[in-house]
Amino acid sequence: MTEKTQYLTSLLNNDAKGIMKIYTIVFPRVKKFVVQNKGNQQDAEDIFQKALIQITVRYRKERFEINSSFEAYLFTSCKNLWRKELKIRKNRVTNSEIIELVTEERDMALSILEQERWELFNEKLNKLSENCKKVLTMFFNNTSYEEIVKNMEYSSETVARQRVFKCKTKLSNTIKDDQRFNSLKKL
Amino acid sequence: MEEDIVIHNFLRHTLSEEERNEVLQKMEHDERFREKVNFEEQLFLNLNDTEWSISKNTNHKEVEEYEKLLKNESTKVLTDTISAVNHEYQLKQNRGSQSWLLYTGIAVVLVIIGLTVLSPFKTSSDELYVHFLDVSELPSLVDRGNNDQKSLIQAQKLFEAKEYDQSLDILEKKLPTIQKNKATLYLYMGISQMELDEFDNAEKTFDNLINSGLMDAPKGKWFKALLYIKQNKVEKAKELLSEIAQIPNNYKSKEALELLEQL
Repeated sequence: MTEKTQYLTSLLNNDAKGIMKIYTIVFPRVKKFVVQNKGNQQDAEDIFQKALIQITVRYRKERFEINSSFEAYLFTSCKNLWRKELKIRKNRVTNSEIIELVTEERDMALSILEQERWELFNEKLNKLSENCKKVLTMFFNNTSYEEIVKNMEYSSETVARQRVFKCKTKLSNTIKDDQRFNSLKKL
Repeated sequence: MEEDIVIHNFLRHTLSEEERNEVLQKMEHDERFREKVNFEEQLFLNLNDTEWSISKNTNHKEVEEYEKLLKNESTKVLTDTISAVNHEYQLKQNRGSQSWLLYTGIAVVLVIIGLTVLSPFKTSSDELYVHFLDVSELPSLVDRGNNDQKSLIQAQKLFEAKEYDQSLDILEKKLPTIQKNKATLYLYMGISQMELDEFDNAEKTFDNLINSGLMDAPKGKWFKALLYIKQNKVEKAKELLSEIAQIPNNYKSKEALELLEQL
């Protein structure tokens, strides 16, 4: 049995010893990330527990493929749950968006599907050429065109804009062509 | 491509009121356009490292399926098991970390004393200030595509050209009205004042940043320490640098330790 399967089996079988091993290996990283990003110990514990339940329930529904190590996958799931939590807190403070109150289970169900959508978008981004991936990563993270020109050694901002446009179109098409998108677009 | 630029600016809130309303109207009547805007928004929310796409469709078929699974007995049992493991794990960590904290605290104090007392190499404050003041790492004052920020673009250019007095004029006028990037504006202002030897003003600016509660507030401490060094207030600088160096995750923690070594 691979390590990845062992961890998943521990979760599926409520194996406390196996789950403790997951805590020992991954929790310190998650805690560090949450604490460095406006959270505290309690937040880290909550996020970690949610992520473990999220992965197990998702796996119970349908055996999905984890392409990285289990540790990396769990860490990314925690990171995403924390990003969501930070956004909700920010919206609460600025009152910029009214978020409907839902049960904990429904909220978790939505989080699972949001994670699935995030995985689809990132999987497709990672399948683009290195050049496209790099330019789009900068673009979606609000890097100025001036910086993109400098980093990618393009001759002008017009070239950079064209490149972003082409890569974005390619990415959009591959996402839309995937059958998972049909269901997730209604989310 | 034209349409893409409009959508991009719409999603980044950089359109004028009139242009924004035009987009909203078009979204209402043109289904293709509406879907395109929604998709572009999804791209941005899912591929920006600090964003997240929160779903609102609680009636989605799969939401119900997952909800059922989350409510069933096996998930409840798993939740209880995870809670129990978490409790045990945190207890173990707390017992271990109490002694770890004590030893680390002692070690950091000893290192700082050792570095400050025994170091044979002393460099002048001015040299250290110049060496450690790195403005190339400062974030930009301006967001991409925001044409309403012409004065900030100008201030940034002047700052980069070391025309600190002119840059400061613009920044001081902007300070009362700006909401976004306020911490960055404080940094540019404080450094400009420091470079112009307006020490009291610079200290006030860095204190404002430190006490602002903004995400970048801790950066103020590092630049305030450099301000003390520039004024040759070595003891005050050391105090602040020790504070920064004590926690490895602090902004410029490593540099603070290095600087302490040379003071």
